[in-house]
Amino acid sequence: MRLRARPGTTRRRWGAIPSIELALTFRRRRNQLILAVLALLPVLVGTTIRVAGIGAGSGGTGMLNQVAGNGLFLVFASLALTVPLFLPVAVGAVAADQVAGDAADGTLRTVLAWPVGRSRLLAAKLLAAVAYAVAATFTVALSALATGAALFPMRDVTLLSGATIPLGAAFGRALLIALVVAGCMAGVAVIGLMISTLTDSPATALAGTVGLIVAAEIVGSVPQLGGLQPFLFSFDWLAFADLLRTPMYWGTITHSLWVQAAYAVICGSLAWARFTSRDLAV
Amino acid sequence: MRWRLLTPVVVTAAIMAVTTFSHALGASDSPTLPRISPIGLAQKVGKSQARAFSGNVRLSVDIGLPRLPKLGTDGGADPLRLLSGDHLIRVATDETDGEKRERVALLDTLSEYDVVRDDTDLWLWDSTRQVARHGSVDALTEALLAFASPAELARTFTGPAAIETALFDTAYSAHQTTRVAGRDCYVLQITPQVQGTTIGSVRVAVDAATSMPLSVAVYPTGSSKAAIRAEFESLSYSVDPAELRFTPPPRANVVEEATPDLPANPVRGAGKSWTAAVAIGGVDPDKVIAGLGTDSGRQKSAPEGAAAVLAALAGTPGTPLQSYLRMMMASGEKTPVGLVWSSRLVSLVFTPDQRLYAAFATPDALKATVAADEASSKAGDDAKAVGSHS
Repeated sequence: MRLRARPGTTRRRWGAIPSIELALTFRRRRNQLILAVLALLPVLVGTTIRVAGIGAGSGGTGMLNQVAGNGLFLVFASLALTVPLFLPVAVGAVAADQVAGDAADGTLRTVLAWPVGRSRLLAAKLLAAVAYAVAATFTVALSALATGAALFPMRDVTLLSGATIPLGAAFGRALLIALVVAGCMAGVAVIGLMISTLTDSPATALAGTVGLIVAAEIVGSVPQLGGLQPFLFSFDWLAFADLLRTPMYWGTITHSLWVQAAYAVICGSLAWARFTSRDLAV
Repeated sequence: MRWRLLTPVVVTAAIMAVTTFSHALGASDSPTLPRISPIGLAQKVGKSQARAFSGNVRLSVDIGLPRLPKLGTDGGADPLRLLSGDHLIRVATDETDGEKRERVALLDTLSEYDVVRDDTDLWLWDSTRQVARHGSVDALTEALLAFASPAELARTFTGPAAIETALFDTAYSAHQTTRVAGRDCYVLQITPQVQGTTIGSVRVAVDAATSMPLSVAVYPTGSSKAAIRAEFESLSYSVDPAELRFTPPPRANVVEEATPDLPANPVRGAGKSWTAAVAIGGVDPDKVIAGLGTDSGRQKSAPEGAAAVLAALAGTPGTPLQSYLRMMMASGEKTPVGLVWSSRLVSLVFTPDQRLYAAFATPDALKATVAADEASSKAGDDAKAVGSHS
């Protein structure tokens, strides 16, 4: 074991496991493919708008309509299009594979033979899943930014409230929005990881995670279930648009991030309890 | 190590306990304030000192209309959605220099609808369709604007006119105190004591320092669930002047509204006390519904191919709302005075000569008011037919 061979370098030992997990997550061909697909979506939307010539007054409504007039809106529109389904499913699928995938192909037993506590191993896997969530969000945002800048004019941004702010300030808001969305997606990653610890089958973990996301979205769209909606992890995902108002409205976003945090703590503790106490003498 | 499985249970319980406790703490927060007589409090409301304020209002309306489904970007923010459901509204008002300037913004998912008023100048901004409508403030807009803010809504029930007409039909009490948006408030409870009204009670939280109403809840007769509740979530007695200015953004579709073809004073009162009705003349429902969601004055070609798919993805303007309103029109009950609708709080009568009456009254009480109003307007010719407006 190389890790044990250098007992003096504690910093290296602390960093080793997370970096191995990060590398495993980001080097896996399937995960790279998912990022590529996410990067392709804004390109597809942008090209369609450019080719079809959708613009103000052409019948559509909402943010897509403003993309032709301002490329930066492709960032907001792409996030609004991917946040309800594509992005959480991608993030959830990768997180759901973290433990169950290792258990299925037998590497989990090898990994557990390392001189590393299970808690630290789980923390490393959590870190990798959350990092992937952040990377997925920024992949969509940056690809949209590049596409928008290439195909459409970039200029001062008209906010939802009708006020116009300079492009530089609008970049700041776009960054804030990406961070808020990344926070919401990190919540999905923790939920996916929790489900991943419950089963040895990656397919079951994937189906469970995606099923949970879809179920939450359905409950969120039924007006009669209004009482439950503030407690859904998915309900306020689109609240990021509150940062495109004057003045910015933080109430819903703060609530949403607290809900994500509560889910993360509960699911994280569940994952920890399951992962550290489960019998792996298969 | 089975005990570890208890950890998530304990964590979940702790989170639930903390949220419940903090909610309970907020609810039972009743500051100690000097005693005040209920009538004194009601009169103070009419003389609120607040000339400028800005804040966010939570409005929840459940007057018994079917709820509109909230489907992604469908239609976007639209004032007609205020008829049911939960909403967040940003209010900013400044009348320190004599002119009334205000902004009322309906904050919806991914969209916003703003009404900006500078004295008599009026801008309506629809972010979904990028349309800025420019017109002048008429009586109808004035009445609609009054719906959005708790301060204005409360004056409907506690204003000088309301107290004058309803003094002998009403029980007032002011025993409780509460805290709204971090400010100490008296609670004024108003209980109508007349037959025929659908209002069981109205609770108004009045800022102890400024006499401004910060929260209004209207409870229908025999119900403990509010039909209308408007409450400031945050409030400041100052306004950023920039918020009250509106210049149409570049590349937006600017529509100059012709002065609407309405009678000189389309909104007036009929009847008196708690069953008093508001009458709006010259309402053509077909025209109103057809006008929703279309950019007036601009002929659009239907998008084709990929554009159509994207347009569908982005939402077709107004369609669910239009079909909803058509359904509502069709569901009215036909009676001798006109079409009648009633819900747990509001009754509506639409007369054959295109007048719309609305009141917090039972359908029978409203039908009687309408019949009396029509008789008096026939007898008293034109200007004499004025009921007391509450």
